[in-house]
Amino acid sequence: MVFSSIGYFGIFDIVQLFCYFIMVYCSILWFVVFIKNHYKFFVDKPIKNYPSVTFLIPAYNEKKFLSKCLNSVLNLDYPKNKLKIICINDGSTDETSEICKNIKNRRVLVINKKNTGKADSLNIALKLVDSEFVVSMDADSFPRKNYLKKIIGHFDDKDIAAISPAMKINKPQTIMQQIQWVEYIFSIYLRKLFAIFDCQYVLPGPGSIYRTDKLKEIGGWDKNSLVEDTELAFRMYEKGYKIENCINAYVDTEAPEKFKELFQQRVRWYRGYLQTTFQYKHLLGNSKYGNLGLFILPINFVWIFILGFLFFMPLYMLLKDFSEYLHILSLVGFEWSPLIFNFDILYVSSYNYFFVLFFLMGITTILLSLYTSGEKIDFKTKKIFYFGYLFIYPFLYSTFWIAAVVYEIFKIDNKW
Amino acid sequence: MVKRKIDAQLYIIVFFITISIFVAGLFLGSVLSKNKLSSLSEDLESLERMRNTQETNSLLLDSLDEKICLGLESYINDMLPEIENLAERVAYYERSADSKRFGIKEYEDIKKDYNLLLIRYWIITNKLEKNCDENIVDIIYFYSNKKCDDCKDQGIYLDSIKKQYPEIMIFALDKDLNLSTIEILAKSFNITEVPSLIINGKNYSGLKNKEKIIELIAPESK
Repeated sequence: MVFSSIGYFGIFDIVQLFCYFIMVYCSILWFVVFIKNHYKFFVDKPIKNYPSVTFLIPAYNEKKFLSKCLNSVLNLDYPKNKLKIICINDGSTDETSEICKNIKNRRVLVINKKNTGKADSLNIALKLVDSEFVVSMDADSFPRKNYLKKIIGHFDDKDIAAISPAMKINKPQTIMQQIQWVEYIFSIYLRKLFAIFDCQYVLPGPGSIYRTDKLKEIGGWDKNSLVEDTELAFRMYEKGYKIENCINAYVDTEAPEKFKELFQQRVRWYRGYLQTTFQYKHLLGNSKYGNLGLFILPINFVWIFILGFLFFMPLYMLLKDFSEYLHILSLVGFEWSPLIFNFDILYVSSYNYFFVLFFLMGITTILLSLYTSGEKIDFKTKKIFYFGYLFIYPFLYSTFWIAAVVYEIFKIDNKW
Repeated sequence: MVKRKIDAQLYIIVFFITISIFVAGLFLGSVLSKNKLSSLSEDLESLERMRNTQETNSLLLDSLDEKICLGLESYINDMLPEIENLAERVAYYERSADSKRFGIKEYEDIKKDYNLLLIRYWIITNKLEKNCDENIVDIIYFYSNKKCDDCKDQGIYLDSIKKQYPEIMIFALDKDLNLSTIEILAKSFNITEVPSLIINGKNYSGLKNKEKIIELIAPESK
């Protein structure tokens, strides 16, 4: 019998096994949700009559990308008389104002205002919107030609208040961007699963689309939130709206190039997430809010713990080994011992089972993500992407979360 | 307000799938540790066969009135690398977490046999020294894995000595094993505490550092 042969498990083992249990549980859960619902993934919904849509493009110092963003919206494959743009110059100090001035298109309305932040800019513009639907489009993002046609049909239910698109990193150059490329591909897959599982709690700034009346009804974006896109999604859950996702509607977006920028962005996101969950703590464990309230929000706290554990455990082991080494050094001094590698079954630990398991799950998830986002594996040109994602990203991700938790607890100012 | 559904059934199914993955992991872990143990006992068995042959050879040479020293010498020299290899493997296994988790009873039996083998080997080295005018430096090291803070350091010193003087033979005996042979040995050298060393037939109790041990081995060289 298996259990009789278990001798001794310390507290460290129990915590470790608990973390592994949650990790395996969540992976299996998403895998089962995928298997049960994969036929829904790529379904296009027919458009009855092209409804009117307004794009809101808030821009603060976006001289680099704004024109490209405007052009990609103007070139969307959609009836011209049904599509409007409101470009909000949020007190930019660079040439963004010039770009806005030079827009000579009757379909683009430009608002120049003092700098009050993205959420406020969006709200000011929202007041002027008279179309049935409204899109928030970050100025560094570019919807693909068929974006609107693909996404609009998914509003086939009166209760659907918002739909998120599928975002991809535009032309990843640096290693940070290449890792994010895989992360975003994974997010496309995960966001779809979240939507199917009715627990999508983020409505990304680049290209989420809303039913105007519902958005106005709940008062638009919250200018006091660090993450207005997450706060809005939580509020929609609170009000009992549905949030959908469309993986056939692509938006290409720019990503932070360097670690520092990425760090600042992520600390803001994750800190914002923490603030939002505390703001909406009445959703936690509340079955009225379905899988989100009962499972996803509570388990996310466990995930933050797991990330911390997975970060500090190897660090602790490393320090322990190092201090042991120093101890030996202090007793007998430095001794040269040649490294001889020969395979011995004694070197195999039973925990290796989990490492193999996690590696396989990681590979499977990447493959399913590629499938979901219509990308080829293309290992030759993207091998750095994948290795970076498998081996560097976990450390980055836990670092960002730990920083976010620490910044939030000690109220450290995160300049961004 | 939309009525949101909860996939309770899914949660339960996934729970059982996860549990079965974990049970499979435990099962694999126990299979793995069985293999580890049987790999150790295979080493031990092959050493026992070697010992049997060598002992028979010595007896035979003795009965034929041939020179017994040749037999004893080949006994010592042939088995030494194998014994040292097994000693390393035992030490590695003992440090690993698996030894505390799976097959503790089985490991204890293996260890008893291994300790007996070491003692037999040590007896032969003594015999060789006495009868054949050979000078072998041997150290018996009594240790315990429980409640012995100094044993770790003593082990580090001995490892270092072994590295520097590979010709010194070190036999580490586990005092926790409750092996009557070890008890007899301990009693005859008046050993009551761990760590303790027997160097060239003399008992030294308590932690001894590297310089001290070298001094004890060869007082004249200092």
